[in-house]
Amino acid sequence: MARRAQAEQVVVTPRRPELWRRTLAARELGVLIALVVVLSTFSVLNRNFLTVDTFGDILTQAAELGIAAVGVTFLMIAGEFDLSVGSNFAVAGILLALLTTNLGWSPFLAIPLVLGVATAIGVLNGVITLGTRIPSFITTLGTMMFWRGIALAVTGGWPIHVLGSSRMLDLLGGMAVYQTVRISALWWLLVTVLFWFLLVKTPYGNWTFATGGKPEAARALGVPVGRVKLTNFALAGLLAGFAGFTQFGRMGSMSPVWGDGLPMETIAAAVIGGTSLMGGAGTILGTVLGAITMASIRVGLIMVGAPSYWYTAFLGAVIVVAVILNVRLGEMMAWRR
Amino acid sequence: MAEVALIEARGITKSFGKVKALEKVNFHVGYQEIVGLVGDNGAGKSTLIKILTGVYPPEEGEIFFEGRRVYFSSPKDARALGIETVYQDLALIEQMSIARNFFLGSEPVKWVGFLPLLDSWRMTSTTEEALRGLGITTLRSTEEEVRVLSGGERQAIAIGRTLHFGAKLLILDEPTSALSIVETQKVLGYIQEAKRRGLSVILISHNLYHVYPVADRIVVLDHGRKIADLRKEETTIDEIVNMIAYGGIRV
Amino acid sequence: MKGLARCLPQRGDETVKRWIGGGIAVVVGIALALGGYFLQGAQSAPAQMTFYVIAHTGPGDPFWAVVQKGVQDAGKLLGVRAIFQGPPQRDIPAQVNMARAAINAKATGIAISVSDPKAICAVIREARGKGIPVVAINVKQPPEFTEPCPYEAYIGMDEYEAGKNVARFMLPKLPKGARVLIPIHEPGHVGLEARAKGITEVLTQELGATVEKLDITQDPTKALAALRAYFKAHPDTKAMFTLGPLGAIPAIKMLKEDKLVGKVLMASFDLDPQTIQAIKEGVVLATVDQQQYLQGFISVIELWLNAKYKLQPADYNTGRGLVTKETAAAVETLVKQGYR
Repeated sequence: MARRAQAEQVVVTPRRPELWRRTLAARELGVLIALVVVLSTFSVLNRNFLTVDTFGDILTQAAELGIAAVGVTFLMIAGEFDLSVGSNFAVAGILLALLTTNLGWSPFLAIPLVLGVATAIGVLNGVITLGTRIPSFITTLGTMMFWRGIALAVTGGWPIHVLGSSRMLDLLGGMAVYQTVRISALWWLLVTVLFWFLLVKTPYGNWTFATGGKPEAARALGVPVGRVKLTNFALAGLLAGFAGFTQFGRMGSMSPVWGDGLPMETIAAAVIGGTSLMGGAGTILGTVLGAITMASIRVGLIMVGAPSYWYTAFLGAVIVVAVILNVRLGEMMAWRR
Repeated sequence: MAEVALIEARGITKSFGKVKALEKVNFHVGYQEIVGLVGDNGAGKSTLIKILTGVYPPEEGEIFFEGRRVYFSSPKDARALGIETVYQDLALIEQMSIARNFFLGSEPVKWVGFLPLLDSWRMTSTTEEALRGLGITTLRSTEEEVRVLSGGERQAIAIGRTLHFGAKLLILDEPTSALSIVETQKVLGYIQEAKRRGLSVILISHNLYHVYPVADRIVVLDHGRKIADLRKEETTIDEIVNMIAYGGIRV
Repeated sequence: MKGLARCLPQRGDETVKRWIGGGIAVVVGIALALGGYFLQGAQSAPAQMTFYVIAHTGPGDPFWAVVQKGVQDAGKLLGVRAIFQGPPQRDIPAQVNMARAAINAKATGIAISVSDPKAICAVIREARGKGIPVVAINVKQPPEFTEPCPYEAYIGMDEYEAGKNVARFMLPKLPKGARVLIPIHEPGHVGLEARAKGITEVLTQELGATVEKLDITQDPTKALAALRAYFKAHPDTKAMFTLGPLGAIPAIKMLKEDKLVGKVLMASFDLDPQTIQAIKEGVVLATVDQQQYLQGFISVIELWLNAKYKLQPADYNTGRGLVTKETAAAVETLVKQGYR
């Protein structure tokens, strides 16, 4: 039978693959390469690009997108989408502005309440998707328009301004912590660390990967797939709302039309960073790098004087290249091939 | 049968509408025994298995596990007793590592305050040990993703997992149908190793050349009835093939 | 078995290793070069003078396309880099981001529209803090806004006065107590608000008219639908004042399609080929000429003069007078060429 084969077998002690192999197999390698290319290109074109000031700006700009993108990534890994993040962003910002400015509520009351509303919007997305079995892409397309309409209806289309200074706004996004780096970047860092930890180092993270990778298998092994998805919907909503806060903080005003491009941009950041559209695989760090890459392109194009419309064209190109890089590198570096 | 069987099903009958899928089937598996369940398509093999694993109840008949009468209201009940099924898709998630797959749903944790931290050291070392115990010697690391593994290696993980988590009866549905010859031999080896460690196995397969070498007994179903229940020594592959193809009863 | 062979490095592995090693070397090399730049600080200003003109909307709006032309023409004339930036749709955060990028690029001078006083004035303060001269164009902060907004000059129209002007022009043609509609294509735009305010005041004071504002959005299809809905609900509306081409174009379309020309009197702001044509046809009675070309052109000139000779920028009122049927033909050619 298998006698001859067995005699030739050598017992190999399992050991962790070499560092170089592990690094190259990392999902984040593609976006890292993209980022390095973008940064080097722009610094060659404009000597002022690679300065602490510019970089601080890039981080601040990326933070608003990035905070929401972390939540979207988490949800995508579980196999679902949320297109309503932009509307959630606007509703949360508007609601906070209304409560604290027009109604004079204390921030200590308003902030938790509005974060709760943002989370509830996420939960609603989850309940509708899971209850009706309609793909989340469709249900959140609907809720995206619904909540955007609510934001516009409540404000009549008018933005809400906060006159004078406000400690709350400073802490949410307005305050500079180091030259051009605003506090929103710090919030982003905090969110990133928390969610990275949750994804990689806890059983819940394992369940999230399994839920997105093969929900039937996960269910067979006792993972509460429905609850996992619902929780991730809630988290995506929470972070989208919080991102709205940071923009409100930075601008000192909030308009119901802001956050329009957020759903597409967060998915772009996730995909550039190596998260799979099919679910079951993804990385928070990759999304962070993806958001930074996108902000770098935007700032870089302005600094070299290119027409601002080139941004979307560039972004499209970067997405395609990054995805190809991710897939090809992944195949090449599969350790057994 | 003087000794108590691990699992015994008596008089199992099940119909779907007018079709009688199973009719008064008696089936048992002993401790540390490998039983091959064979028969042509539509013979009733999967129906029997679904009843034994609690997917649906029989119309008539009783099931005894470890000597006690049992009723399954859902697959969870069967799993709780230690009856595990490994289906063809193996319930493995390709993009996740071996260790993560192994412990999915039962992750070992270290508590830091009120935060549960994955005990990754324990995960990797336990998985390595379990797989090595089965006879897998060519793994480089349990942190590899499952998708780079061959079909036989994946079977090993699926089997090893059930062993580790205390399965008593393992049901394998066509485990070798998608494998190369070499891989098939390996998997059959894993199955024998599992038996040596105390597991009983029901092996469903179309391929008698895979079943015969490892099975202790072979049970043949035909159109919902049991037409043969023989110890390996009492029969030959050709005889069984004949039975499946042309019917005939030898009990 | 295959496993044995695979565990040892193979020819295949070596090639991969070499390629990866080379790739890493290239990446590291680039990183070192960047580090060199970084450490150097790169504090110097760009070699050629670079002026940024940053608006709250981009050349997709025909109005701003003219401004962009003014900017580019000035740049060519002076032999300097003059860059016009604006987001595709009204987008204050994007405008702020563009301004920051310009500051970081160490612009020689910045011209910016004060579309959102709080956010933009903050950016202006930053630019001035870094020694970059700033002028405001097109719209400035309303008088109620008290925070410091240190631009050196305002190059644009006095919106409020212009609103009053065009309303006075239309006064003799409207009955007392008439219903009038002001479609707004950019709610929140302080300049548009000011125009609307001027119109409303004159009409309500002199005529006791009922004046209503309607948000029609910057999307022409949605605008048309919104206008139709309003006129269905209020068929007695006697006049309409749109505040720019984005409002005028759908309004003209509606008047023609629904055969309301002559029944509903229309006036607008700013020039564009369609509005001019409509004036010639008598669909629109008058439009306020903001001469926005000057907003782009003069702002760059003033910033250049300031950079080169330290001459102090001065306010420049770009918007005087109305264009009516009599003067339309003369202006038309220039509008087609993109100068007016």
